[in-house]
Amino acid sequence: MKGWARLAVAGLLAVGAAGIARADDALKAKVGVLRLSSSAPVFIAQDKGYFKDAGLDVDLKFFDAAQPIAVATASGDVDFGVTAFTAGLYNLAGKGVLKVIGGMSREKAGFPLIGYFASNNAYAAGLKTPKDLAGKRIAVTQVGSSFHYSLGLLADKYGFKLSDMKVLPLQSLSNAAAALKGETVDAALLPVSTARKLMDDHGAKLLGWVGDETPWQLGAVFASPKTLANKALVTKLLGALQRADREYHDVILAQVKDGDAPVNETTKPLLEIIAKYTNLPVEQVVGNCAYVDSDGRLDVRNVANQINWLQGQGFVDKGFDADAIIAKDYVKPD
Amino acid sequence: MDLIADHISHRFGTLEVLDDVSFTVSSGEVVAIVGPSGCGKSTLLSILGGLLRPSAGQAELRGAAPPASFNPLTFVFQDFALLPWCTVAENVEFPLLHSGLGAAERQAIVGDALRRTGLSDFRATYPKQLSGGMRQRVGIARALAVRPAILLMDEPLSALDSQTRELLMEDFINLLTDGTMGAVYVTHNLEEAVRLADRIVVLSRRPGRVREVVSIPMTRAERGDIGARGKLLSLQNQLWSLIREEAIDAEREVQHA
Amino acid sequence: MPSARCSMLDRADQPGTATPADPTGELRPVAFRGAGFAPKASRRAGWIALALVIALWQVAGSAGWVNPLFLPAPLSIARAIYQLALSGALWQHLSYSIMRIGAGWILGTIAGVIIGFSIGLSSLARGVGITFISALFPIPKIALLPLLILWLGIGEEPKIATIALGVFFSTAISVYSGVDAVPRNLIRMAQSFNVPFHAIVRRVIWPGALPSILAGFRITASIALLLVVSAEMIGAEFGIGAFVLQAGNLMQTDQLLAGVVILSLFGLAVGKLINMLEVRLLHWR
Repeated sequence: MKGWARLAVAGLLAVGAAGIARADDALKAKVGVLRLSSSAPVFIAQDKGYFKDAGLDVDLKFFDAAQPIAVATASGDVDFGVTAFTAGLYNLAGKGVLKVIGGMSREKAGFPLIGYFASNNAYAAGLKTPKDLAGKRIAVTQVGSSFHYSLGLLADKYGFKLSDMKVLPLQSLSNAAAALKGETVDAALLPVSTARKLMDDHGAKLLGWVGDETPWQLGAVFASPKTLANKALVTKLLGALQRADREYHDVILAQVKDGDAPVNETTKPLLEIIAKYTNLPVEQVVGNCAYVDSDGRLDVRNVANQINWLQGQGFVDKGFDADAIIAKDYVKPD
Repeated sequence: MDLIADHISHRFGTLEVLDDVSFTVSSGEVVAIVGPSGCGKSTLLSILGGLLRPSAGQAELRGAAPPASFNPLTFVFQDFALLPWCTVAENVEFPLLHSGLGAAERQAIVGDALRRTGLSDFRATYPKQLSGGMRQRVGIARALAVRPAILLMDEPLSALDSQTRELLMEDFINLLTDGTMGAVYVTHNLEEAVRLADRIVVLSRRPGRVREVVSIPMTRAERGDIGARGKLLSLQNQLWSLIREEAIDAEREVQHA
Repeated sequence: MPSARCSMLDRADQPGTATPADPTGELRPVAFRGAGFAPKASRRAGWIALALVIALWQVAGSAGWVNPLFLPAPLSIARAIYQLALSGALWQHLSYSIMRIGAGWILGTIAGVIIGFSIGLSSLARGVGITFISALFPIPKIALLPLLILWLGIGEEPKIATIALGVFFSTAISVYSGVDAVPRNLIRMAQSFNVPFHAIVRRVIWPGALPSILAGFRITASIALLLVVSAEMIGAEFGIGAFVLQAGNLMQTDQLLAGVVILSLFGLAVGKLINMLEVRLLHWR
């Protein structure tokens, strides 16, 4: 008995000591992101020490697709996720394992992100504007992806039905690009980073940008309910991100003209940070600046619209709405 | 038709196996080839049957083959070489399939060969269901079906137990007794050689050379008599004394392969 | 035991090794020590174990021990399959996938058997073929999808080609190893009876290689099933693979596992079919 008691006391002491030690240290957080410029504020906050200033020790975990970030956040492998909304993400959120806590990138006029591209043959045959996409065969990556939703918005805007287009999920950007180049589809929705090489090789023609046609809330910051319980952690992280949002917005986005950011003494340091984290040369970063609200606001109305649309298509389980997945304590609505 | 070994030598790489072997198997004659293990007996038989090209010398035929023969030089293999996916009858029919015979003629020949080897009740049996002795009988039936002039028998009994061996030996004696078929009978078993052969070619150990050719001045029928036993035994002992020293050397040899 | 080193001929000379038994001594049985090392496959045990695992899984799901999102319970998977069957979509998915698997497998198998036999029978084909197969076999077929799309578009051709490619290499390898494994003495026997080349191939080498070819079929059938998911990455609207991919993309884990269960049931059925084929064709074994 004596031995057990001694062990228990030792254990309590150890727990106490650990608690004290943790209070002194910075709060640790793992953030899952893609190496895309749509996460630019995260890179700036990390590189310029805004997380550290807020008392956070942030560890960035890089993923190569949006879906795994949502899964990793739900399963607790990362504390926060920063990526695009997808049907899969909404299905996770609808089951209560994810909550949206802030806005990130948006499709917005003047800021090229996702484009509509036509194959050379289809272009020659008269596919010249996004409006002409009705009745065409269009490659996207996945069913229920940002690309798919963008097509849905386009159909709504020009008054045709989504079913008027033949949407072909090819599972990866490289497959979609190959199909476009090989003239086996009429058009494809591709991010500017993938499309640039295709356009340089004259493998495809640009029809327009999604941001110009149908602006919408592309990306968000989200967390699992377990992380949300740690109010101090969430507040500090969002505070640091907003500081970076504002700087990114005021320095780079404010100077973007014709889709390109100029390289000057004010923008260069930030562009270099983005270039470093996205593994791209600065020349490519300038034409690839995702719009982010200066206060990290979220277009809640659009999120509700996304959920409605995806539920209507049968890609997202019915029975929940935007209110159920948005953490109102943290989100600043537009 | 005579089969002649004309100064045959053979080597596998640097290993000399046969050295200048010459002898003749006359029409209807049974010649046994004996010698210590590894002396190239089976290699010699492959060369005689046209399955192996010798390094020097050649195997030759003299005289016309019997007109009815489909395959004058026919092997009987130590491991029987039966097609496991064919029944007994199909195995016997196999060499006839491309002989230009009609199905009815083939069936007649197969039926005859099976009868001669006592296999008539086993037509539809598969090889795996048969004992070793019965399998070799199928091998013999298959050989008989092509009406050979000379049987090339490569240790046909050495995969069998001694009782089965005895039974098959009696069959061989009956088959060869009328003198219409010759045979080259490769064996390491001197008793078999003495009971079956008209002449015995004794090879030396590797590289195999002809050491001695021993004739047996008795018909195969005479050798069955009790009185002949002693004579055969002394002949066997005489052969053994020829081979013994070399057999000891051969056994002690370190294998290269 | 010093005598252990001696040969058995010497043993009789060893004094004192054989103690005469006491005739009045007690009788005792020789202890049995030959147990084990002979596992027997019991069909019933396998099914019982499977049923137990499924039951435990269901209990874990119902009791809330695991999040149904991460591991949907068997009942919800069964429900997903049932709904799929009810809506008729299951048959549509299955018929598309079976068409692709069937066409791809047959094309790949025909090409593989021809090339495999060439490698097994001709020195020239052997030198060239084995080099090419060794170089190309390990390439993951998914990595080639963009190229296949460029060459063949996004219709049925690249989907069938993906499966055919996977099946081809494996078939070619199993066929030529099968040809190599045909006992040489049977070929020598056929030659000794002057059987012509084509007849040796048809009557000796083909049946002799058949066991290994059929074993290869077992593997290539699984490869075809594995690759149907990759193949249906190429813009497929219907098909079990497309269904699994979409469920994965949408994080509908019960649907995802429903698709996986259907695929594995399909695999079991194909395995049974090959068993029957083996019993029929290899009854002589």
